[in-house]
Amino acid sequence: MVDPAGMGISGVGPVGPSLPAQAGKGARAGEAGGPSFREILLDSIREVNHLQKEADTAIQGLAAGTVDDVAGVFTAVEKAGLAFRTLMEVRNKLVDAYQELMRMRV
Amino acid sequence: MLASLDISASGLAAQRTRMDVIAQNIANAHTTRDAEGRPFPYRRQEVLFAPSSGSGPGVSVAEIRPDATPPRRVWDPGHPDAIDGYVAYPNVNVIQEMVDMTLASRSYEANVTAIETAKSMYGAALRILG
Repeated sequence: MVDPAGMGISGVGPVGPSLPAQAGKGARAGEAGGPSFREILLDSIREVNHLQKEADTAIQGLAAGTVDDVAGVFTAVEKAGLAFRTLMEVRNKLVDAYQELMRMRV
Repeated sequence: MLASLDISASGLAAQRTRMDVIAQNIANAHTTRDAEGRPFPYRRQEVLFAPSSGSGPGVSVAEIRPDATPPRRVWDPGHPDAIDGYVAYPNVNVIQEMVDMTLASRSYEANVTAIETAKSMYGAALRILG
């Protein structure tokens, strides 16, 4: 997950796998030595997808009556929503940057 | 950032368990025998919380244990569960359970408020980008 303002609670550690750990694990080294931007983006998309799937399973469990932790289901849904909103903001920023470049006169 | 959501969710689950135990106490406030029909009154149960260990931060129910205070003895020789004329009623004080219930309800609301605040903080951070 992207942590926009670095607001993660220090000392308690992240509950889920955080983005830098995943990116460092699964990514190929880019030109600068670290993971490439493409890999970071793909990893964060995978993470958002994972959260969405988790929320989906939770809702199905609630509907089927196998899960009775209502609050857990709602927080899973909310987490998935926040992660998706973050991804959309990043995507909008990227598209904006691309269009800015395309409008540039040479 | 999303860790606070999980922490508060564990608080919600813990308060719900507490509520379950309080409901059980109130429901059995006048239970004078056990499941096998022997004249042992219901014992008030209480919940003990502990910080989560292992699966990340948060709170978890450490133990649900019976209250050790002795049962209430009431003179009622006609009662089928009376021993020497006295009936042992559970050590449940309904007024105390009501206060505990209010506490559980308020703690639940506090956790919901913490979730809402975490959400709005995250949303505020997103506005920097948008």
